[in-house]
Amino acid sequence: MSSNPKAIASDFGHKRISVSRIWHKLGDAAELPMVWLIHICGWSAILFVLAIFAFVFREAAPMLFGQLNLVEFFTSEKWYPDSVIEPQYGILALLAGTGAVTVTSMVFAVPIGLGAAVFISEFCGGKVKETLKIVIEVLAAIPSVVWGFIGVVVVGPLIIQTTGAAVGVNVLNASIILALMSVPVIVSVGEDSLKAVPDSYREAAISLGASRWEVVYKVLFPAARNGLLAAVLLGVGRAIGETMAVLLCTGHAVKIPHSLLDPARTLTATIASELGEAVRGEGHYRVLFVIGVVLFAVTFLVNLTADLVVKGIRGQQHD
Amino acid sequence: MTSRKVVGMAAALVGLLAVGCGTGVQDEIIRVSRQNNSGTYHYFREEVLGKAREFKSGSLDMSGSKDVVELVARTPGAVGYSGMGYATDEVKMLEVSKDSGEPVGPTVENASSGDYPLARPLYIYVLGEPTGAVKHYIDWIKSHEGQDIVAEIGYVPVNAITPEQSDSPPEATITISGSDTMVNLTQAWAETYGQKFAQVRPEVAGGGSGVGIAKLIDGTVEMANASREMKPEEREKAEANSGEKVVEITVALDALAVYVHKENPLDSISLEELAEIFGDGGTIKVWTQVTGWPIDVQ
Repeated sequence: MSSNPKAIASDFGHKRISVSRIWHKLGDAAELPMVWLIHICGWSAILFVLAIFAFVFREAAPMLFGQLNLVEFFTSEKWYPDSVIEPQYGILALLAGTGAVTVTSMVFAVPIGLGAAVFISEFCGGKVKETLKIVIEVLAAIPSVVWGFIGVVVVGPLIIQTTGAAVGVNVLNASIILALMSVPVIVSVGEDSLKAVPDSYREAAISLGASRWEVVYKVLFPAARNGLLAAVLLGVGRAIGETMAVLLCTGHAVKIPHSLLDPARTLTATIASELGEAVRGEGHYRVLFVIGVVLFAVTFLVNLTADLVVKGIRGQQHD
Repeated sequence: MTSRKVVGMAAALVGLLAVGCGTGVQDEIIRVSRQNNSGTYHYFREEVLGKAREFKSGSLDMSGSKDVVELVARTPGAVGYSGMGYATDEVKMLEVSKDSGEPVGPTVENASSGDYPLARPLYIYVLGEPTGAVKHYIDWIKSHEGQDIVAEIGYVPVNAITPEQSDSPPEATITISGSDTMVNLTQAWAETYGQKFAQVRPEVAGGGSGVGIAKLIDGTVEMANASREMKPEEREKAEANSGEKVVEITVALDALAVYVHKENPLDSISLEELAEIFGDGGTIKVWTQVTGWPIDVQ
């Protein structure tokens, strides 16, 4: 160590160089582990999905390959899983409930969601646009149990008053609530995909004399097809997987709904309400996991179809 | 693109619903029940429908006793069953008759005298004759102090005893699990008892009668609450696992009330009518069959 200030300064400079060299060397040495770490992060998603599926499947397997009659499981409406007389596991009514609620909610949500996306992306600007986007984000952040509560306390009595329905919690109620829950998803993804269409498309269309509606309908929709389809399918996914709100709003009745004003019951809500009191390892517990496997298969099919459709559209576009 | 069609369909749907068919008269009976693994569900089935009869599918199955009452309050044509402690001003409790006898109201007196047909005992199950802190706790539950809490929570007390109790039970943690119906009661007991005897900590978890009994069989809890009797095969398993006898202690009674909307003109109902309303293959589907006329809703 030198006491000369100049020497100290040069010492420092020298050290700085060597520190940065060390950093470089460290960086070189750390590169491989970092690459691996990032690889692991990437693969972890697959790992988690596989682990969850393995767990659900392990709990369901003894029932799935054991005493469960699969034909009866899918075609019977009799759901008496905890019966002392004779347990009966038929999920037809639950499947019908999930289907009815999902389809009806999409009938409400898709036009509203896509319409809102078009409005935000094409027909308004500045402050209105920003405000709308923020409000829609807030809408997406409302917890599902709050939606359920609104369904039971506000929508239910309203349905009884306006339609004279016998009961306020029914397919219509759940569909309205689910539609409100999936609209924000559809709007934000839909708006993004419309925004991604290059302005030159719009300019070209307008210069050819297209009206604003024609621009949206004939140019933007076809150009943003993949994104809009993804938006709709994300909405469908939200509707199928939603649990708490549908548990509260469908009426939770094992019955194939014949009208919008009939109560119904979904697969997810059945698991939510019964798993808590099912005795671990017994038939009822395992059959609820089989329902989990069915839900897994349904969402997988929806995603797969989405992928295939999107790929098909891409293929057509390339031709 | 089909979005135009979809918009049209949605508009037609909303219009149709808005015009509606609201006549202000409800005739369909809306059955409000409990989820199929609750102790209350099993008790009602055995007591009202009979040992070999299932519930009719399509009832609205609520996950909690309180939910039943809340839904009935909002639904003019509804009928449901739930603990009488859950009654509110928005609903009406029906008097119940059995074997064409006189209808009896769900009151504390009628339940403890046995006149009310839908009163069930609430049990605590332990393995082997209780000793030490567990015995001290159970004796206290059966004492006047414990039974006063039963009445406060809204259940029916059983005959209280005056136990010979020391003021210093041995230090211990008691693990308790089981019936959802009894969870508020057990928590009230645990709280008051814990304040009085700080060295004993009763730890209460819900989960349902079936779960509590399964945990007792596994040996993961010392005490199981149940709103139904332990099944013979459950007793066998528990006794085989632990080598101890299962001891059943009745700690309170719960009267199940039959609730209807407050504007329902009906005042009493028979068990036979309830069975035809709730039971599989039951013939009663509309209120006209019970009251002679539909319910007029204002």
